[in-house]
Amino acid sequence: MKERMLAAVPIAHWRRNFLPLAALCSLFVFTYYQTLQSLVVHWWTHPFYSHGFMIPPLAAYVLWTKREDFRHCRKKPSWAGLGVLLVGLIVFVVGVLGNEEFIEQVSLPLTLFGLLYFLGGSKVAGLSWFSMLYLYLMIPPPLPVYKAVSLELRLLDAHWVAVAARWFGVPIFRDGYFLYLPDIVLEVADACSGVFSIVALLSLGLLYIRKQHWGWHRYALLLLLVPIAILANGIRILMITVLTYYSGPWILDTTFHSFNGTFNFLLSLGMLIGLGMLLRCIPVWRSAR
Amino acid sequence: MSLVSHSAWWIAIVLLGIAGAVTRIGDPVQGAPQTLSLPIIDSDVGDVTCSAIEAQEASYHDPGVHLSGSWRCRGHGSAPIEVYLGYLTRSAGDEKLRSPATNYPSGPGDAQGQRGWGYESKRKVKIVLDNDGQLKLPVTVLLLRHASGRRMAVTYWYHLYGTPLPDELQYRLALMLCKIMRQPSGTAIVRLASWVVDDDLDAALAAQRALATALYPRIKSALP
Repeated sequence: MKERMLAAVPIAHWRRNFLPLAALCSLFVFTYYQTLQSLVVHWWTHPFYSHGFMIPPLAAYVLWTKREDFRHCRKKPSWAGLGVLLVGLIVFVVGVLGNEEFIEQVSLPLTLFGLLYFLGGSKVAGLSWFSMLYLYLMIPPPLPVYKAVSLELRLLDAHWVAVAARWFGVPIFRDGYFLYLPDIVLEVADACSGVFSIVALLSLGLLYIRKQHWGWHRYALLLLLVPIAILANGIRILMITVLTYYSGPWILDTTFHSFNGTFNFLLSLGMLIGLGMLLRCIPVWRSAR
Repeated sequence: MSLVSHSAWWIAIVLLGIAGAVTRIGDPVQGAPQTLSLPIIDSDVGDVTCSAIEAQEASYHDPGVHLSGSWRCRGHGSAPIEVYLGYLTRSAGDEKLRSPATNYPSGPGDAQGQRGWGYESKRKVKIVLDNDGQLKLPVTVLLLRHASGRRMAVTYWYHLYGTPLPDELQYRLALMLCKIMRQPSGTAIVRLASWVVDDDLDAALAAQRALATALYPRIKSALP
């Protein structure tokens, strides 16, 4: 009898909240329909941002891994959460009325977090903040921002590749992001800047670090995520430069060059995991969990 | 004051509903683009002589604009400067002026279009328009570089209802404010470009500065 009563409580709770939950979900989709559509179109049409498709499922997976904590934590509506929700919605309205897609998109995770915080309280917010922050990785940066970051990375890559190529006996001269070899000029183009490899590595690297590392190891790896992605991209450009010098420009037409994003991502992920394994050799203080 | 769970749900529903409804209000400035004739740049602008060039001859295009014109201006001893003026009668959705930092020149025979271009440097500067130094025109100076090794100096600014705006960020912020305030959102872009000859970037920029100083009052009086 007691067991039946206990089982009935969640069902009754679910039934009581079903209508507002359904209304809330429908309204969220109604409100954010165009924003969601613009994101999907961007992921679909921009090959460098196709990893955007995997971000929401991964964020949902992180939430799902905490389902027991969610079930047992104390849920109480929070005024602070209402503030976050209001900020999210104001940012959204400003973005839509001002025709700025990026601002609309930025508001989405904030509104979602505001809803969870407002309806569930601080415990729920504490359990969900990582997933909501993680959702920002699905948002493409505005083109001028991307171009500015890309330019800096291209110059940095060209600089150190010009230095390192000489170690392999390649006579090379650098001018900006152009690399002059005896018979050919190589351009470290936008696609070679590695911006999207950084975002792709952040997407999987954050989950890996969160799941596999604790204490200062975690912070060290977090700090090294972006440098690792930049280094991996530099290694790829160096390899292409050296191979072009020694074997000819045909290397530029190979899949090795055209699949630069995949290569970069795999190399940087390998470097991250390798570094993580090395760090494991150093003891870390770990709190009892 | 503590919130009851039940009320919180309904507050959230109402807030989302309001946001959804507000953002679906139509744009009052949409409709047929207003007609506007671009300011005609006279044959003599300051110390330089300008002549209009056909769109297919021009090296720079912004496919999104509603009206545009290109001129080629020649001064004493400096490389010819190509002037581009594009006007967007209203900005709705993705309809925005493109930035010369991301939209590159393309010639008539350039089947690939815009390939091989990138920019090397980009900075904001103020061009002094009068002797007192009171009137200043904020512009962006861009140094483009083609894969062939040639460099092109570009000076550009946006123009939104009497206000010159130097770069994309300020243009987009101003445009956003215009849209929120439900004001008309017609904007223009003025782009001056010339090849850098003998690596003398200063000479190219000085010629562009002089032309911008002479052009600005005409453009300001001709545009809304």
